This record gives sequence, C-alpha cells and structure tokens, in this order.
Amino acid sequence: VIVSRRGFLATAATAAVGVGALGTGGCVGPAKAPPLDALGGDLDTAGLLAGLENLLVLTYQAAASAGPGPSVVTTFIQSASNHHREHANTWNGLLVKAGRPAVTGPDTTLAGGLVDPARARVRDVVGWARLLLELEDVAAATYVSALATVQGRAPLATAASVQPVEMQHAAVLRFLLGDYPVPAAFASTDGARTTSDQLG
Amino acid sequence: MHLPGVPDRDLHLTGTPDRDLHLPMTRRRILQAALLVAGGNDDVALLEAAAEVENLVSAAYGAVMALPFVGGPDANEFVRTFMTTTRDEHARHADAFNGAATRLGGRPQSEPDPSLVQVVEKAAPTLDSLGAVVSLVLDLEHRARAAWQANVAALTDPAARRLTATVLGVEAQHAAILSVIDLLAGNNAIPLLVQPPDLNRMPAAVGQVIR
Repeated sequence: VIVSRRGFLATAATAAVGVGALGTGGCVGPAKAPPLDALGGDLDTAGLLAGLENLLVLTYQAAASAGPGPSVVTTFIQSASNHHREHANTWNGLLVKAGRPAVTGPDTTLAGGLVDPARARVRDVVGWARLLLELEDVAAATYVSALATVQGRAPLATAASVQPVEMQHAAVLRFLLGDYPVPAAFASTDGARTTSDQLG
Repeated sequence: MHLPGVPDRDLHLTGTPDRDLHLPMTRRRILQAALLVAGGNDDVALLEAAAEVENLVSAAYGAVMALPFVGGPDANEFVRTFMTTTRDEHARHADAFNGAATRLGGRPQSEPDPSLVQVVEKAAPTLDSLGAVVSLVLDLEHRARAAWQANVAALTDPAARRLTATVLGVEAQHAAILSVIDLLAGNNAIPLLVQPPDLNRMPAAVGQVIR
C-alpha cells in the first residue's frame, strides 16, 4: 500500500473532529452544543432515561432472584445489572447538577405496560432472557431517539456512550437465546419511549 | 493485501487483485482538511471520511473471509455467517454515509480510509489463527465505534446525526460478538459456537464480555 500525502493530511485533519478518534481512541469533536442547564427538554430526556435504567436494574434483580441458572446467564445478569445501575447514576448526576431531583423509581408506564404482565408469564431462564431482551431493545431505541434530539454536551456524550452498551446487552442476550445477535444493520427507534411516560 | 494461509491469490482490500491502494488527495479534500484543522465543522467531510472507514472495515471482513479457518468449508458455521453478515452490514453503512454525504453536496467515497489501511496491512502477516483475525477486526470495530460516538456530537445536520446514531450501536454489537468469539477461541472452545448454544457448557466469562 502506498500511503500518500492525502493520508497524512486526512489524519491530521480528522484529529480535530470525530473521525480522529480512529487513531486516538477518544478525540471528541468541536463543542457546539449549549450547556445542559439551558435545556429543559434534555433534562426531561435525562429523567426518562434514568427511569428506564432503574426499571432495567429492577428487572435484572428480579431475574437474578428467580433461581439459579447456567453460570453464563447468572454472570451476564450481574454484569448488565451493574451497567444499568451505573447508567442510572450518571443520568441522575446530570439531573442533580442541573438542579432537578434524581429519578429513583422506574418508568412506571413501561413497567405496567410491558414488564409486569410479562413477568407474570415468565416460567424459566429463557423467559427471563426474552423479557430482558425486550427491555434492552426498548432502551436502545430510546437512546437512538435521544441521540437525534438532545442538544446539551453532557447528555449527548452520555447517551452516545450508553446506547452502544445497551445494544451490546441485546446482542449477547440474542446470542445466548440462539437468535442471530445483530438483527439489523441499523439501530431502530421502534418502541422508543417518550418523556410522556410516568416515572415512579 | 496478502494474508498468510491463502495459497491461490492475494487478498486486496479494494477487491481489485492487481493493484496497490493509491490514495490521491484531491484538491477538494485538501481544502476540507484545512477547514477541519482550523477548527471548523464540515458534515460532508465527516460523512465522506465515515464512508471510507466503512469501506475499509467491510473490505477487511471480506479479505479475512478468504482464510480457510474463517470462510472455508471447515470453518465454524457461526463464525462464517457472522463474518459474512458483518461485512455486508459495513457495506450498507458505507452506502448510507455516502448517501448522506451526497445529499449534503459531497461525493460518494469508494476508497478505504488510508490510516486504517495501514492498521490492516501491519496486521496481515500475523493473521494465522482465528484469534488473530478476531483481534484485528475487533480493533477496527472499536475504532469505528469511537469515531461514530464522537461524530454524533460533531455533526450538525439532524439526519446525518440520526444516521450515525443508528450505526454506532451496531458496531458495538459486532464488537460484543467478536469478544465472545475471541474468548472461546482463546479457550479452544470454538465448537461451542453453535446456535442455539448449550448454556450449561458456555463459559461464565461470556456473560461479562461487555465492558
């Protein structure tokens, strides 16, 4: 391969923006977004996402307490639960910093509409995994939707760092369930929750 | 690009077997580069560069498919399917980024990202096992994810930002499954890669590949 002057210039150029992360593993683009505390809509979204994360933590905890399963499933449940707790804490940190109260309860609209009825039907580890997968898909869709709408630097960066983790949870769950783990080339917003959801 | 263990032909990232990758810097790209170095933003440049990254990653998957332990008839079926499907998904990402760039006045990019070409070329002589192959493509997926994560914040066009958000998590999913394959390959447990898997035999560590 002949790497021309173009390659050098392209590398130098992109170091100032997102694609620069290819070489450095973390360069962030020009900061143009307004601050978090100026954006009430962003804070509503942060609250929604905190409520979703809380619901995920509660559902993973319920799955963990449902009885012993294969060690790979037990380990996954513990690991993913920890991730969701960290995500909730991050969103709540943003809310509190902006002067809003932390969201300590779950998204009760989603809990009542999806999780509670499904939990009543779950009989085994596969059933729990299916329910968790459905919730992870909802969370991922909500994050994709949020990434297209939030404006503040902090919520944007947080959503961009969390959304891939939710999608990874879904991929591993699909793998463990015997489904193809990456079902689409593009993430969807189908099933995304909105800030009209009630939070507990 | 030549990979060891491929007796019949060289592997080329462009799919064009008889030429090296010559990557001319057009005057337009030089101007875009100057703009970006100066701290300005240019959605078109970001999208064109993104298409080049996807071109490279798709081509890398395509190239390693020629290795018998990845794409040969005796290769693990799940691995073969995953590598093929992932190659195609990256090609679709490239098409989408090219479409977005074109919509904003840019030009579709058919060449691979030059800096990542170097990464692949450097790794090529070491690709003598599934673990080595997975290590390479996992590295490419991580780099792509980091780039799209940053681009989501940098892009100003709403549709381009939305598109990047839909690609970001898919790269992460690729990485998660590659991590599973890597873990099993490192434990000589590739036969466990069947669908559906035997959960009782699957190592617990598979449950914590996401970090």
